[in-house]
Amino acid sequence: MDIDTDIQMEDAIDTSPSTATSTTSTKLTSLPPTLSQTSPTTQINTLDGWIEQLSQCKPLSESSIKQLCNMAIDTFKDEQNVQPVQVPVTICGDIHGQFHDLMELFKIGGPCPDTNYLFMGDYVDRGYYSVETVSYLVCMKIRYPKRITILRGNHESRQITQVYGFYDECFRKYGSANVWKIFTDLFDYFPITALVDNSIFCLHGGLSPMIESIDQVRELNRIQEVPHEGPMCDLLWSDPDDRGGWGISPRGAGFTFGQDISEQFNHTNGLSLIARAHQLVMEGYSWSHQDLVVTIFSAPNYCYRCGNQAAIMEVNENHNRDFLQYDPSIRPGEPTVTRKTPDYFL
Amino acid sequence: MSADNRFSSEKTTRDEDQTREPIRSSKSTLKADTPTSSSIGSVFVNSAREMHQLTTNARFPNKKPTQSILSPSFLSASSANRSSNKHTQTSSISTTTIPSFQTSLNKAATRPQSTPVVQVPAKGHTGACNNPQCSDCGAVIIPSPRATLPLQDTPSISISDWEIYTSRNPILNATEIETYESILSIPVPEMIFGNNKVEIKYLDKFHINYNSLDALKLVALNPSDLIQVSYANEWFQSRQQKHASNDEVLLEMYRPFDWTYSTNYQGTLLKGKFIRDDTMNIPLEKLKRQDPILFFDDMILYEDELGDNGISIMNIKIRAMHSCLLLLQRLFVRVDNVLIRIYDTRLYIDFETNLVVREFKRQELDYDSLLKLCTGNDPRSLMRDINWCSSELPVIDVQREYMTI
Repeated sequence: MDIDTDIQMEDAIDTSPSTATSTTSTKLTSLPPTLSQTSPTTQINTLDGWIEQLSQCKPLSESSIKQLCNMAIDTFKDEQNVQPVQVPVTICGDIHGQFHDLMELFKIGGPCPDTNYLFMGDYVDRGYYSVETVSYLVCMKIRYPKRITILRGNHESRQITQVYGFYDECFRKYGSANVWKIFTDLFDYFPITALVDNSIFCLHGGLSPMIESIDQVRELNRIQEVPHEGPMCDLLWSDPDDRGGWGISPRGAGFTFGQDISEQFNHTNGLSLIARAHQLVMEGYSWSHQDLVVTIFSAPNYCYRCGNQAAIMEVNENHNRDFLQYDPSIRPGEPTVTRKTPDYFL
Repeated sequence: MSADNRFSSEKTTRDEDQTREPIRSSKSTLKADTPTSSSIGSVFVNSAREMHQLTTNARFPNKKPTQSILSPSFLSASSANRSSNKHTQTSSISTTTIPSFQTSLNKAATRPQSTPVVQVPAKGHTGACNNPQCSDCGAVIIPSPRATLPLQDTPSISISDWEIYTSRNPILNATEIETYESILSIPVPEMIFGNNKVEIKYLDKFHINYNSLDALKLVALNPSDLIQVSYANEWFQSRQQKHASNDEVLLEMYRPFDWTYSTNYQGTLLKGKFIRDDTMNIPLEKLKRQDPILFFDDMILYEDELGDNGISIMNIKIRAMHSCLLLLQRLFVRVDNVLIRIYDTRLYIDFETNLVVREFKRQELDYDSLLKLCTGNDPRSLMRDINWCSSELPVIDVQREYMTI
């Protein structure tokens, strides 16, 4: 991995050395005392060490996680509710703790930081390596803040992670819920949407009847647990539907939005596309609303049993879009599907 | 201390006192910080762990079958032992699950002498059959350890004139989903294994098929007792206020349907006729005998996470021995903080007497009442244990029917 020690955790291309130095000093003052005393070189070395360790799917120690998340809060709190992103960028959907498939994703899409990435949430739960997955992505984010954008999904919440696996995984791997607590506190800082070159609006779920313009997203107070209702909840939860207008899920909570809603929203905000994740699709991506909305799902063979493909969407300098589909990473000696042992069920 | 119990078994090498103390303190801080935590239900973490263990441990050598439980020579005790030993050596399936299968092999010698003719694949099998037999004993156990992507298993077996076919495929693609939805006029479950099936035939006298399309056809449209998530009222009322002035936001449900995907489906009977008789019991004693399993499959027809409000899963298991088969189709629905429901269909076929018995049992209880039945210090782990739920849930009704062929 290339290390430019002159520039503190920024990308060499984007910043001139002088601005970089000033960025460094402001950043360091807000870091916890132990960290601000370490030199930038040490921090980069530390991060690269962590990335190296995580890339072998070995979780970090609890104290490293604490240190990492403190650094990350510092990075995330300066990001916006609608985080601006430049092309070219590769847009990715749900990962759900499928660490080895995330590594496959970076092989397919090109290594970070050579390729810019935008992840649209749901890093944890379901898969068996939520801890490694989210630690890795957060490490990469701090190491290359301009190269990788991480949004919040509905699973990046205290409530959902207690039901769907992340809480239990932290407990299993660390013997306590501390790491879960540190991470879920960090999730509150994740930006909730991104805007690629003022043209592609990216978020985890979908639109909200309380949000007509992107500026209204900018006004939200995002640093909180994902609420049960309200605009922030909708952005992380809602789904596009074939039926026009706003619909209510038969479950009794949650919105669906029709093509007319997407047309109006894209028109009002001068957008060409809404890119979102949140729903499993066999092909890894799926168009809806006559190409106004795209769903991207990046966890192949979801839950180790669905047999679906995963996809990522490359957007190049000319705003051309390409989908790359991929299958689960195959690890030697390990079957790709869940093996069941015969039992004498009655 | 709930979580304590859940994880202690995995901490084998660490000193118990050292590890337990910090957990206790961290758990109490956690509760204070997240008041909502107790209102959240749970999912099958245990089964996920089991699956994980199986996924990472199940390794079989790529060998041709050396000895078959299907072949007559297997009747000799010595070869049975040889096979079962090999089975143990060459597999690394979790040690908690292997013994039952091993026992079955050892007991092979004691099974009835009137051995039926067993054929793999089944005599009526058309097309490719890519279901590998166990390299040592010849049994067909699906999912096969050698299965690779794309997932595609089409195993089959005949035992005398009974033919069993199963099929396991990935979830439906976009085009297939469109077809399904136009037939069903409801959105399909998130994980829809529409090309999975279990099919059992006996000459031209009996034919039954289990598939998700037919199961979903019985999901209620516009049900009078539509279940709602626990926070639905709260959500709706806040929306009513906020969107009172906005005509675009219609606070009405469009074509409501039973989104828990509950269905009374008991299989699609294509040939044969059942006679209702609730006194007709499935012979459990016979099924408890650990006769060798010749054919086993365990698949999902559909699964939906109910928008992270619980789970609805339709699972189907089948095991065939020399003398009989048992099929269990189980629908498990958990709507967090609302209810738990299990609908079981059991199909028993006796190959010796050609008796077919089908039992349909419904069990249900509200969430809080079941939670109160949980003993021990980790109620939530019990709530995600389907077998435990099945043993505790009160039975609403049972229907039984039979036919002799």
